[in-house]
Amino acid sequence: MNPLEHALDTLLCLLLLVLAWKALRAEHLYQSAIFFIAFGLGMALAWVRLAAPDVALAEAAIGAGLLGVLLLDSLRVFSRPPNGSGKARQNTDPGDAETATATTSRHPGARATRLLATAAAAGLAAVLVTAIVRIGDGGGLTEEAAGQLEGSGVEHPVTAVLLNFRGYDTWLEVGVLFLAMLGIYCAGGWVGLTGGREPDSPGPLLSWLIRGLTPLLILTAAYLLWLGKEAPGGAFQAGVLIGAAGILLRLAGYPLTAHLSPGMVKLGLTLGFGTFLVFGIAALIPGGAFLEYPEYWAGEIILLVETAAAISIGFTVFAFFAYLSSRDGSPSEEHNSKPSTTNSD
Amino acid sequence: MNSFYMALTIFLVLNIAASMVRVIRGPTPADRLMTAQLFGTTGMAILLLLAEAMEEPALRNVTLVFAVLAVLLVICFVQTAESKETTKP
Repeated sequence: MNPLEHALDTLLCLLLLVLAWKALRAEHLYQSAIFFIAFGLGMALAWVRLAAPDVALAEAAIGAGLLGVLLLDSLRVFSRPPNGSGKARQNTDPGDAETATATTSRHPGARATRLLATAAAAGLAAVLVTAIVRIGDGGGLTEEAAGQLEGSGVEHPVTAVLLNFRGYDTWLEVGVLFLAMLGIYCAGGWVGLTGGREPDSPGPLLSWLIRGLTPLLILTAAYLLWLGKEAPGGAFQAGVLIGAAGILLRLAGYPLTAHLSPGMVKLGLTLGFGTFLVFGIAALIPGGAFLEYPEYWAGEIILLVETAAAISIGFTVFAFFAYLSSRDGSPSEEHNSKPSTTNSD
Repeated sequence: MNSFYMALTIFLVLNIAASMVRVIRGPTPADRLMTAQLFGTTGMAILLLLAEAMEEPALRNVTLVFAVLAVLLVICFVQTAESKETTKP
């Protein structure tokens, strides 16, 4: 490794630390959000330097692309007058506590929260350091996975591990996303996804942008999905891009899911988890293990499962956003009666 | 040639560090958002340079994902700013 690469890696590490610190300790939540978006970008670069382009791709799609929009929209929905932070604090959900610490230093509970967060972070750091020390230089199961690659149905080792060797994990990950979505909608109702605002007429620039960008997003999603077979890509990244296309249409006042029947929306949300389950159980019939695909069909099954998972992830991601963006218009909700001002500047 | 790409990458990372001033100082939310966009653009340039320097063509796809998603943030911001203007008395 030449000295320039060392310099770059050191610089990236320092930048990440500064960005993380600023994201936690910025004056306003809006600043925190911007720093967090930048932190996502820095993380993507760090994964690149660690020779993990798959993770960098996921970080680019989720960390830097999607989360920024979700954070900005959350800020809009949960923003409160800057002077009454102590009082308004009680109205926010406990899950919001992490992001709220930047502005609520006067609140007595903030200190305890911060201590708890510090303790949890320190504990996790200790566990991770022990893990790093234990791994050593052997490289774990890399060789074993590479040896089995031929029968996996795909050429890219990461996809082979995620969708075939450890398909169980990915299946449950899709399940976790589904649960998160259910949680949001149990708390907030179904209306954000199936109903939606009356479409405002988007301006000429925005409608031009949507016409150009929406097909591009879908096309890129399909490209990444197909690419997953032989190179970094795959269902999660593709799903986020599909969700992003939905978010774009929603932002412009075309609530896509409002045109689908509730049954279709539910089908979209459950398709990924269900397809995994169907193929997993089907593998049991000839006497195989759960999610053990037959070698001959493995490639096709993986593509099918990935497509279904991508569609579901897209719907789920869109559902997160649709829930947030449905929360400004309805006066029945308690949170929404507050004046909507961003607390930056 | 690799050292050249690496040196350019370091320069761009330093650029990101320098532009953090604008996020802190602002003065308006729009300035801060533009900085986030600048981070994104610089990040894409860094990724493309690293794709050459590290001989990892997959990084170009990472750039593509960044590029197609970057505009979402701006639209979200503009829509928020617009709705704020219209709801204000």
